[in-house]
Amino acid sequence: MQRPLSNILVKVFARGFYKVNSGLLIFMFVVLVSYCFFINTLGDVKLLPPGKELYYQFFILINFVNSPAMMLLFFACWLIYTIKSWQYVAGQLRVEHHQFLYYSVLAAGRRAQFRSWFYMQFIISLPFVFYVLLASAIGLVFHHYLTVTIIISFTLLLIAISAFIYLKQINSLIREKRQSTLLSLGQSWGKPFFSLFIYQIFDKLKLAFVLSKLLSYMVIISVMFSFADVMADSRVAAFAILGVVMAHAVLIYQQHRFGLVYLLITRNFPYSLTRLYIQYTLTWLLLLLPECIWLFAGFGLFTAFGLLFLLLAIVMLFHCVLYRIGLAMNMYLPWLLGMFFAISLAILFGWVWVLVPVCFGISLLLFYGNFYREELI
Amino acid sequence: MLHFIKFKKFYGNFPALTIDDFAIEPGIYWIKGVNGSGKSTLLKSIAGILAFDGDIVLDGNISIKKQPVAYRRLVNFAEAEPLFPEFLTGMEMVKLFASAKDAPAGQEQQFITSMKMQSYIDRPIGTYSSGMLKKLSLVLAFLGKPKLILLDEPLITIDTESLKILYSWIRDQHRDNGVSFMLSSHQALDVDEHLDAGELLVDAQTLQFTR
Repeated sequence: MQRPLSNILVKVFARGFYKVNSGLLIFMFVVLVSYCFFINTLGDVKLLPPGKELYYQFFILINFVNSPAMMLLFFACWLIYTIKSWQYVAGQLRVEHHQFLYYSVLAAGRRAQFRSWFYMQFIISLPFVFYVLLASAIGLVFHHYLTVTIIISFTLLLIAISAFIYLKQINSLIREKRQSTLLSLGQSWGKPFFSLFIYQIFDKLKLAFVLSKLLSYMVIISVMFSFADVMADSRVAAFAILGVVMAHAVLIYQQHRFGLVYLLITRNFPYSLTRLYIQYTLTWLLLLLPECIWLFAGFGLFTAFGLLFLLLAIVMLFHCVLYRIGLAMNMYLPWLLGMFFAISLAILFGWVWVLVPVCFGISLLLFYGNFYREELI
Repeated sequence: MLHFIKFKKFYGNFPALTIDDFAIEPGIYWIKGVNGSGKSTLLKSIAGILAFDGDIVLDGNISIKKQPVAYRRLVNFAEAEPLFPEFLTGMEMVKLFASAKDAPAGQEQQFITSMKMQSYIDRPIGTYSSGMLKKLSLVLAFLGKPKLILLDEPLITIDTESLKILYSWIRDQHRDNGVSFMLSSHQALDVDEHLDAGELLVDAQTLQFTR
C-alpha cells in the first residue's frame, strides 16, 4: 500500500465525503434501526419463546440479506451511495485547490494508484462494508455460504470498479464542465433571488433532489395506505406532511449552506427581513410543487390549502432553526429529531391547525432574531 | 461619514476587534494591517455581513442596526476572494445586484466596457478565471448610488491595466459623487494615481489613524 498517496486520497476525498453526507448517513441509520426494531417484522410473534424477541429482531437486522429481495434492496442502496461518491470525487477533482493531485498522484505507477483509490473507496464504503462483515459472519455460522460469497464478491467488485473509474478520471485531461441540460434550457429566463437555490439544485444537487422526492412520495404513499381507513382524519395527512418535510431535511440544510458559501455577499443587499422571509417561503413553495399535486388531488380545496400552509410552516421552521445553530450538522440532527417528536406529539393531540400559526410564528422569531446575528465564520 | 459606537467583534470567546468610539470623515482610506489583523473582518462588519456588538452609523443618522435596509443601500462591498453561484452568468449577477441596489438603468454598461468584460460577461461564472471573477466583483461594488464602497484587497489578482481603470473609477466616484472608499491592501496605493488617501491601521485588535 502506498501509504502517503492513500492517506492523501482518504484525507481529501473520504473525509470530505463523510463531512458532507454525515446527515444523510445518520438519517439512513436511524431509518434502518427504526425499521428493524419497531416494524412488526416477525409476523406471528406468539410462536417465539418468551424473552427471545430481541434476539430474533437483532438476527433479522444483521442478516436480512438472506431474503433475495432484501439483498437486492441492499445492493441498490449501496449502488446509489457509490454513484453519489463518484459524483463527489469527480466534483472535488475539479476544485482548484485539489488540482495538485493531477501532477502528484500521476507520478505514482498505475498499479499503486489503483491500490490507493481502492483503499480510499473502501474507507468511503465502510458503513456498508461493516454491515457486510457482520452479515457474512452470521451467514457463515448458519452455513449460508452462497449468500456470503455473493455479497463479498459484490463488495470487491463495486470497490474495484470505483477505483478504476477514479483512476481513469485522474489520468485523463481535465475537460471543461458541460452545463446541465436543465440549466441550458433556462438560460434565457430571469433568475430572481428566490429562484437561485432551485437553479443550484439543477446544477449541483440533482441526486439529492431526486432522492428527497422519492423519499417524500414513499412517505406519502406509505402513510396514506397504512391509514386508508381513517383518511378523513386530518392527523393522518399531517403526519404525511411532517414526513415530507423530514425527507427534505438534507435540501433545507443545503439551501442554508448555499446561502453562506455562494451568496454571502447578498447579506449586503438592502432587503428587509420580511422580504427575505417571503422569498425563502416562495422558494420552498416552488420546490414542493410535486407534493402540492397530492394535496390538491387528494383533499378538498379548503383542507388542501390548510395542509399546504402546514407544509410551508414546518419547512420554514426547519429552515429558520439553521440561523440559530449554523451549519453544525451535529447540532442540526438533534434539533431535527426534537422538532419531529414535538410536532408528532402535537399532531397526536389533534392540534394540527394550531401548528400552522405556531410553526410560522416560531420560524419568524428565529429568523428575525438570528438572521443578522448568525456567526458566519 | 462613519461612526463606530462600542463596536466589538468576537470569534467565539476571542475578541477579534474592539473599537469603542471612532469617527471617520468622508474620503478615501487605505486600511493597513498584517495578515490576520482583522482587516477583512472589519470590512465585512461594516458591510453588514458579519454580526457584531455595538453599532455603526453612516452619515450621522443611518444605523446598521436600526435602519438595516437604508444602510445597506448606501454601503457596497467587494470581497477579497469572491465566490458566486457558478451557474449564473456575469450579466445575471450584474442584474441581480443592479436590482437589489436600485441602480439607474444601464449604469453597468460603462463599467463593463471600461474593464473590457464584454467578451465574457454573458458566460457562466463557472468558466471565469480568478481575475475575471475579481473584476466582476469590483463592477458589482460600484452599482447603485452608494455613499461608501468597501473593497477588500482590490489590488490583488487583476492585471495592471485593469488596476489603472479601477483607480480611475475610485477617483471619479469620489470627485463626482462624493463616494467614500475604504480599501484594504498589503501593498501601498500607487502614489502616481493621486488618490490622496488617508491611512487606517488595524492592529492590536483595534482601529487607529496613521495619517
